[in-house]
Amino acid sequence: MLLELPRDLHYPITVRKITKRPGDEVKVRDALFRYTYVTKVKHGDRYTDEETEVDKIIAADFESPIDGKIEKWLVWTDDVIRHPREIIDITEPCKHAVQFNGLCTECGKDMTGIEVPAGAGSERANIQAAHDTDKLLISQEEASEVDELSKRRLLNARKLSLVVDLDQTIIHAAVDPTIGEWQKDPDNPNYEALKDVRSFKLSDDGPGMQGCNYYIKLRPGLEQFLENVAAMYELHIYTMGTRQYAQQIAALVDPKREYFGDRILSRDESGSMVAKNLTRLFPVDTRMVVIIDDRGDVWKWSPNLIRVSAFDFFVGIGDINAGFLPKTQDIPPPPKSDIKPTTNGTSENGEHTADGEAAEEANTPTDTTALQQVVAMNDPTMQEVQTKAQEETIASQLERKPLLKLQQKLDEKDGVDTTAPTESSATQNTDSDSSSDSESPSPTKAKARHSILKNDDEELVHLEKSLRLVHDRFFAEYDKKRKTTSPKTGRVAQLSGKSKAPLSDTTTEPDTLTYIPDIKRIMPAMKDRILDGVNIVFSGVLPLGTDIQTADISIWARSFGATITDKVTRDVTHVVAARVGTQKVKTAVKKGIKVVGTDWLLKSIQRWKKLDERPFLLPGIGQKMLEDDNMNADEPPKAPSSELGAQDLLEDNKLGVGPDFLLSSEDEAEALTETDEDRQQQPRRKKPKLDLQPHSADNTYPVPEGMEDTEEARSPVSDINKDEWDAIGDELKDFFGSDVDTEAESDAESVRSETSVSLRGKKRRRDEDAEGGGSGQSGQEKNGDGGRANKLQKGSGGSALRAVSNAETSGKDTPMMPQEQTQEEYEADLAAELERELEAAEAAENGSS
Amino acid sequence: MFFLRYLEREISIHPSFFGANIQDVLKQQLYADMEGSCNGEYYIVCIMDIYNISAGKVVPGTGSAFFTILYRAILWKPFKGEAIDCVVDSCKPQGVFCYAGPLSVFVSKMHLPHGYKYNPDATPVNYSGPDGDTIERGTAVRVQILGLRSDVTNLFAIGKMSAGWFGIAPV
Repeated sequence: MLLELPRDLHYPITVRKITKRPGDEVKVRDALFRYTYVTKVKHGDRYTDEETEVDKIIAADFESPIDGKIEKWLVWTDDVIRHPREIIDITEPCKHAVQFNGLCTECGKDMTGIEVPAGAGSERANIQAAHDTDKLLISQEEASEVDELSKRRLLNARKLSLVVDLDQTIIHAAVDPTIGEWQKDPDNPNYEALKDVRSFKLSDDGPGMQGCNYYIKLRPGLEQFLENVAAMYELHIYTMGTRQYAQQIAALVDPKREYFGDRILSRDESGSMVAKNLTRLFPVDTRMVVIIDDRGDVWKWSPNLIRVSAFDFFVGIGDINAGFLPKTQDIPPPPKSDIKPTTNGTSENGEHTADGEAAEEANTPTDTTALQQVVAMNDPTMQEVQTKAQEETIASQLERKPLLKLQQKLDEKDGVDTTAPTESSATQNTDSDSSSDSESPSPTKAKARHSILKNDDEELVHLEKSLRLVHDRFFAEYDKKRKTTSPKTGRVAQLSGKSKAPLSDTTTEPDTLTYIPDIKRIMPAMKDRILDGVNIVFSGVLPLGTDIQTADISIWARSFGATITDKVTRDVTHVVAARVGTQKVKTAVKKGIKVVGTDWLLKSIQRWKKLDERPFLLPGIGQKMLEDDNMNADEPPKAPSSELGAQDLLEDNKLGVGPDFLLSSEDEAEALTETDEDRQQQPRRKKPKLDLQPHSADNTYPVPEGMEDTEEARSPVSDINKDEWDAIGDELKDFFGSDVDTEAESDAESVRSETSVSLRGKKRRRDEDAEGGGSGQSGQEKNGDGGRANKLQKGSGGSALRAVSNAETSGKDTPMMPQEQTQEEYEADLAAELERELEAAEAAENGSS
Repeated sequence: MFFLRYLEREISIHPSFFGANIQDVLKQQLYADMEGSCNGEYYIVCIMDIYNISAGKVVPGTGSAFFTILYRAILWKPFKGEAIDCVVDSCKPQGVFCYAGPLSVFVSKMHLPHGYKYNPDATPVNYSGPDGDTIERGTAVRVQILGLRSDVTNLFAIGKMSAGWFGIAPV
């Protein structure tokens, strides 16, 4: 080993005498050579008080930091050394590369004693090597070696590594003794779901939870999942539970120890109670590692992570091992679509998110920052306190029996529901204060009693698909790289001389490792595409006061390419709402933005696929839209008649401006193809203005003559210049974004429409010119499938045109098209309608309560 | 190596336990505290007998009473160079973890018997020898202790199986 001089010597130094010769054996702290350096010393005068600085030459010995045999010297007597540099080559008998608890495992020396010089002892092996102990440490070189071997092995087997979390990812654990009672009672409504729940006891539990049963529910389909995934991945367990707990679970999910083997890492060895770290398991390279976990924050949203939705079988229990972590943010489920807004069911749903412990839970996580947690972790007394706190939570679960209470409440509700449905809302509202669960049971009519435990989780099926996709993609890329580059190396070897040819086998062998693509690049790229162009606003999903951008669900959605915005602006494509009736939902409806339930987002993420929004549109709003769209799409365009002129205008206009709805209602499968996706992903609000230009050129567009004339006649603002238009536009935007005031809005609209109509003539001419320039569009349009064909073509072929017209609009003035006006009108209508509906709902509700 | 040794232990007892059976309470306390414990030097395997319990002394202020118990116990103290029989707990790329009773012993792959190779794909993971023997979880092995290290409450050792007569223990 080449020894380098330490940094803290007094450079420059001059080598004076070399005391050891090559071939000599040296021990730690033996003097290797003597050197001198010059330093300034203060020299006091004997008679005056003056001090003078004098150069002084000081001699010192350089001691060997390691044992070994000197191979050769790289410095000679009288050399002046100005910087730290290598000076000597010493061969060590033992490199102390693997150390167990401070002992070198090869020579048995204690590496932590004070006689070991800094840097030569325990510091040399600082990487934790084993899953199940934090005492075995290895050096960087040793780690790389092991890593290389394991990568080669995995590549040969065409596998990747998969780090699996336990709690709420593949299992759900609870200690509530109610579960045991239910399991013994075949009459219990939860009996079916609890059939395969297994239990065990831990011996290392603290007092208060001594001898308590841990009930473990495996996520449905787990066995199959593990079997299939184990063929593609080498599985590791990384859990925040204790070692014993982890081993018990492993014995349950993998009794033959064929999937996980010894690769189990628990919080006892993890080194941190609040964070999981991939480098703990893969210190050198994480290019081939995928993580599945229900928490993104503990991994700091690592790019290797596939965040899965939490498995919440024992409702309201949560993760029993997450006592040290900040609480998760609950995402309220969307209102069930089979409940009419007027029934008490929805009102209860709405209150559920706001009341009781759900709100409490939501408030707590923001109180403690991650930093505080980390600081707290370093303090052993704090750790003890937290361990106690966790024990207490478990003990309290034992006593409180939250599941029993939930079931009782549900039974109670069932009873009330069947006897007096109208009365129930009042009683339940008082009850819900103490409810510990944000997930409301679905109100489907079933047997006499409903079960609170449902066996309906299907995450693993989708997860397996995603994992397969990632695996296939990884190896496709790997094979491609290997194929494209290996002939080259062969060629290079050929060119560089025949002598190297026989070596090529050995030289290309290590090269295979350089072809390994990076999961950190592949997977985010795959995920990014899924919700690309989706711009989401949350409404009623996150508790007030949460930072929208750093919320769990936001980061999650963003990792799939979505954008999160806090205001409903024109760029927004989806409003994800937990309930109807919020300001944002109203605004969105007014603007024609899709309003979907949270499950649309969650399921899209779960399936790695942008799902069709229609089944997830919020009841009341979305479904109304949906119905309208269906109606329009199904009906052939009507010929405009004089009486129906206005009505037709509205409808056709809707066809024109609602490409998303139209598309989605037209053909689901088509909507998922690439081009259509692109089209869908265009910011919706930009469309009306730009897309509809040909409409005005198109004579089939049914504008009632009289209307046009009158509007044109009283246009008072036709001479507003561009700047003023911009200002007005901004103002309007703000206005629409903030509060709803139909009167003011309609005023604004009329202003807009008037001016736009006045500009239409000019615009039309321009469009005609463009068409005359030879696009085949006009002919097809005139053939007359009306706005619809036009629309589709516009969407697919018109991106360049759109860009041009974009430039145009920014360069010249911004003419408002009549379509815009009518659309606004339509939306105003819709909004008014909706508001009426909501009012009616509220009235009904008030009446019933 | 095992030893029989006279030891001494001070135990304080809460006043609620004062009574006719205080001797039993003390004994129970002693067994619970000491048996199976390690002080960083040796393990107390078993308490043989208690040959003296001092008179109790009440601590002013708390009301608890202090007793000094003299007892005899069997100790196990591992020594460097000692040969011990262990059970393999897990195999790692770096070597093998085994347990000799409470003592965790690590044997580096360098110090495994000659020719043993790591097989990470086997279930369970093992080291296989040239003659077809495998060292895997549960295998009984004979190990020589190379080095010992103590913690406040535990001991750790590293060992080797590379010399003659060491390695997989004859059944």
